[in-house]
Amino acid sequence: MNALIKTEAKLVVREPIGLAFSLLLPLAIVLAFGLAGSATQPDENLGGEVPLDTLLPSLALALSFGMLAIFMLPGFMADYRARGILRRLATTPVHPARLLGAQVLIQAVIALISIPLVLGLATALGMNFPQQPFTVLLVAILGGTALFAVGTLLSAVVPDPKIGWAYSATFFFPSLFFAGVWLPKEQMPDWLSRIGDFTPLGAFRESLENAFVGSPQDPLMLLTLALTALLAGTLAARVFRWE
Amino acid sequence: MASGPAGRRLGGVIEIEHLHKRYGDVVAVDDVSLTIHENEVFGIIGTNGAGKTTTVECLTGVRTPDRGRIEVLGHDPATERDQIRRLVGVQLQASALPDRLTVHEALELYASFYDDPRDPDELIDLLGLTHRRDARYGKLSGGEKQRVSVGLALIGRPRIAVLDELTTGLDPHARREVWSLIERLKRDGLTVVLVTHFMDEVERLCDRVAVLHEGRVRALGTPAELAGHDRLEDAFLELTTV
Repeated sequence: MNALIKTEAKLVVREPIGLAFSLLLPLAIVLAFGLAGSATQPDENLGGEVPLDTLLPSLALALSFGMLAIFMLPGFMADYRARGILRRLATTPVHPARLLGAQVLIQAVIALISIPLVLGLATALGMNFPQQPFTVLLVAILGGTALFAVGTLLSAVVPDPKIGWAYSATFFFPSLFFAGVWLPKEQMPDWLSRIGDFTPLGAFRESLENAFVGSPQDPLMLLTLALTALLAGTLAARVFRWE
Repeated sequence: MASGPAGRRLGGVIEIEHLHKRYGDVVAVDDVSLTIHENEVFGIIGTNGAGKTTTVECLTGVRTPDRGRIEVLGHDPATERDQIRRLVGVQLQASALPDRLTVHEALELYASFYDDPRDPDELIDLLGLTHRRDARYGKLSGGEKQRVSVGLALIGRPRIAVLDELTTGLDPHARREVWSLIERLKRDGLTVVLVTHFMDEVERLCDRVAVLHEGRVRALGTPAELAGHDRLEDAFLELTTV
């Protein structure tokens, strides 16, 4: 198992573009928008919130987690399936599920690394440090579990990287919309914004933001994340094609 | 373990009796019975769709037969997959590694799957890949990839190696290299099941050969017996033309 994790880690590092997108793009967003003087001022478009304290870091983390779970993980697994690597592994004493386990572990560790990077950069730009850092971590773990369960479900069925990319994009880009990336949720009609609260990425970002500013958590959003993790995880285990 | 349902001990290291496998309406293997002996290089030849690959997939435990009985070194591949995976090395297709993995890393990784593996560097030597040890898989030539793939099948010190389309896509030089590798492994006691459609490969390597046609064994014997007075290729064409 250790050899498998080591090997997969090497392969992930040798795919620098995906890694850079997942770690650096969120940082670039924090930097680009955080440098503007208005980022530390209450913004009426956000219902009076300070973007650098709320929207920017939660958005950056949601992006990072989302790209790792929804694009990177299924991308690697789709490639392994298309090349016959899963099938080849099935003829050895090591079940291909271990390969999936190694990939999930590595991508999840990278997701965790993104937390201090994002918070560090935002703090340097003048962010007020999160009111509930421990809750931030708990939400990150819960939300990460939900997103990686969705990524595993995608990995379970995608036949090759091209189709995998299409599946991932079909899930990810609407998710970004509901998470308030294209249009701040405060400017959406209430009903639309509420739908977003029950999408995995939307619930994740919103719960993170609550932890950043010290607002009470919305139990329905946490339930959304837990149910997503449970349902996607169970379904993935049932339909995973190991060949 | 090494006895059939009637309690009798079977003769070969691989025993296949009345194997039957269908996919939906398509019968891939209709009724195949074969005995493969220890330390023999056994060829399975046939046209596309003759049931060759399905037969070897059943004996490596990748697929479960619909009917019939298989015993590999005393184990049933369908129910004792763990034992089969330790005892049988499989080469399925050439491109079954990530491009960015080096030759040495690939063999080292697969070595970690087994209790008593060969030394990756020794095997790299044996495969004639020493100068390509740290080259990435994606940069290798077809023949080099094929040799890595054979290496992965051998890294766990299997008693039986199942090699599917061993030299397809190789140039004549690379084919001869792979052939002499197989001959060397046979001298070391390995049993080899070789799926192929090349008659020259069969004549050079195989002790015995089974001709599969439409899911059945059409002929079985040494290459010389099958050929009779003809060339093996002519005999094959005659056997597999309806």
